[in-house]
Parts: sequence; structure tokens; C-alpha cells
Amino acid sequence: MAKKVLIVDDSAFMRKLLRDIIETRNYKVVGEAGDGSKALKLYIQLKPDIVTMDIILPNKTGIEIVKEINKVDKDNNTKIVMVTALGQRQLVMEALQAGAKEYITKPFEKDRILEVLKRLE
Amino acid sequence: MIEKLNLTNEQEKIIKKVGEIGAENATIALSKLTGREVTLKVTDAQAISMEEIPNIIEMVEDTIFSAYTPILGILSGSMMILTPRTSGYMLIDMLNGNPPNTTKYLDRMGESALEETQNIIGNAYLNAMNDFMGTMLIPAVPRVASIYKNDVNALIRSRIKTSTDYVVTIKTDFTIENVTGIFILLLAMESLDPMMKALTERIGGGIMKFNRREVKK
Repeated sequence: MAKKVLIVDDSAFMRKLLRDIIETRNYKVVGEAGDGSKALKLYIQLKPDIVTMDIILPNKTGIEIVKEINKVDKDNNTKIVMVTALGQRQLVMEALQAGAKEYITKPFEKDRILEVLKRLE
Repeated sequence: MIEKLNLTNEQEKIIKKVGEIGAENATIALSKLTGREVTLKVTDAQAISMEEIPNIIEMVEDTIFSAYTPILGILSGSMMILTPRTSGYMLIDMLNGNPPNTTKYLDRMGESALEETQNIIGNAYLNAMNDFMGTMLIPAVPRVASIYKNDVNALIRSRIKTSTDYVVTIKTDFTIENVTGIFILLLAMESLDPMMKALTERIGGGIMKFNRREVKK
């Protein structure tokens, strides 16, 4: 069965790009969110296996959303991958400490996305 | 003749360095984003009056697309790409994998592609500055506008908070095949002191030593 993926990114262009890459393999993009509130709502509703999470989003950051996900769903098995243009070491550490499993810097190679998703299975 | 403000050697050196390393990072990033060979060249790095900004922006068309992002952190500034409308459409086609001349108007997906371009170039600069100065500068969410070239000045004034009429301006011209555009990093003059302080803390006055060595040559 295809793994369910939720894409969180404020850029419609980036969401489409990620969707096109992700769906070339055995994954199903079940939802897309452009801001934090919608991301959390869709997460609860869809229970995805994997979430790709941007950091700079309207209203709240992707790292804050990761923390909220862990708060509302303590036993979750969802793997969160940060996908962001920000490359500061401090942010990478913060995201990983918050519960993200991987950190990908934009712009990315298509293979990098697929390689990380495979590793998380 | 462009009206510019005299900066100290150290300030000039920092601004130029930010331009150089930012352009280097942005070249790699933009090339990866578009899958094409790109050229970026820093064509201006100075403190000029905001009134002069339209004079350093040479746009061949009246209508231009602007994607801009305020900078958050210890510096007050803004970043933007400006591209003639025709180039903007070509860039959107390139990014969306469309045949040339597919895009005829700016829709939400086109805006988003331009925002992402600004995001990628802007972050390449900010990441370089953060590495160089040990700062934690991050961008806000980018926005796109279609404007007349005469309105660039008003757009810039509305996007930067500064107590003087001068801004530190680092202008980089970019070319991707037939697509041409400009990336501008604007910093309020008040940002120079925190930049100098961050650098001094980071490298213990290394930039000053670097300057002295250059003078001896």
C-alpha cells in the first residue's frame, strides 16, 4: 500500500514540484497545506505516514508546527522531513530536536527527495 | 552621476564581500533550481540615495515583475528580484517545465514560481551572510507584484525602514539563457553597525587585518 504524504509549503509551485517528484514512486500525496493551521488540521484528519515541512510559513514556522504535532499526537509514527531554503546549522539542530527526522535544503535534486523518503520507510 | 554616500574602507569591504559570497551561493542555487547554466554578476555594491535606485535599474520594458522579501533578524532590510515581464514569463515556463511562450499572463502558479525564485536566491545570500557574519538572518514570506518601472522607488520605500535617505545596495544581474533580471539586497544604513559588530565578534577584527594587508600591497 502506498505511503501517505502530506506536503506543507506556502509555495504552490513548490507543492506541485514536490508532489510530481513524490508520486513517481509508491507514495500518495493525500493533502497539501500552505500554512500552519491548515497543516495541523490536515495532519489530524489524514494521519499521514510522512510530512514534508517548510519552515518559513505564514503565521507560524514549520518548527513550531512540528512541536504542535508532537504535542497533539504523542504516539505518532509520522516521519517529518524539513524541506526549506534555510540552511543555518542552528535551525537544522532545532528542527531535529523538535522531532523532524530529516532536513533537506532547497533547491534540491529530485533524487535527494526520493532517497530520503526511502530511508524513512 | 549617482549620488552615493562615502563609506569607510571596512564597510565597503564587508558590502563587497557579502555581494561576492552571496552571488557565488546564488549561482549554484539558481542553477540547481532551473537545471540550466546561470550567470550572476554583482554590478553595484554601495550606499546610495533611494532616489537613485531607479537609475541603477536598467529595465528594457515598462512593466516589471517584482518578488520581494523583508529580512528578519538583527539587520533591517529587504531583498527583491526584478525582471521585465517577458523574462518573467520565460522564467515561469522554464520552472514549470512548459514549452517557451506558454505563459501569457501572471496567474497564482506563476506568482508562486517567481516567489520561489526570490526565496532561493534570497536565502542563498542570507545563508552566505549568516556563515560569514555568524548572524541569524531569515526571510519573511515572499510576495510578488506587477509594477511599472517608475514605481520601483515607491515599492522600495515601502519595503525598508530607515531613518536616512540612503540604503546599502547590493545589485546582482542574473541571466538564465534568454531570461534576464536583477536581484537587489537593500539594507538600512543602521544595519552597518550590527554587521560590523557581528563580524568583529565572529572573526575578532580579522577584516581589519585583511584591510591592512591589502593597503601594504
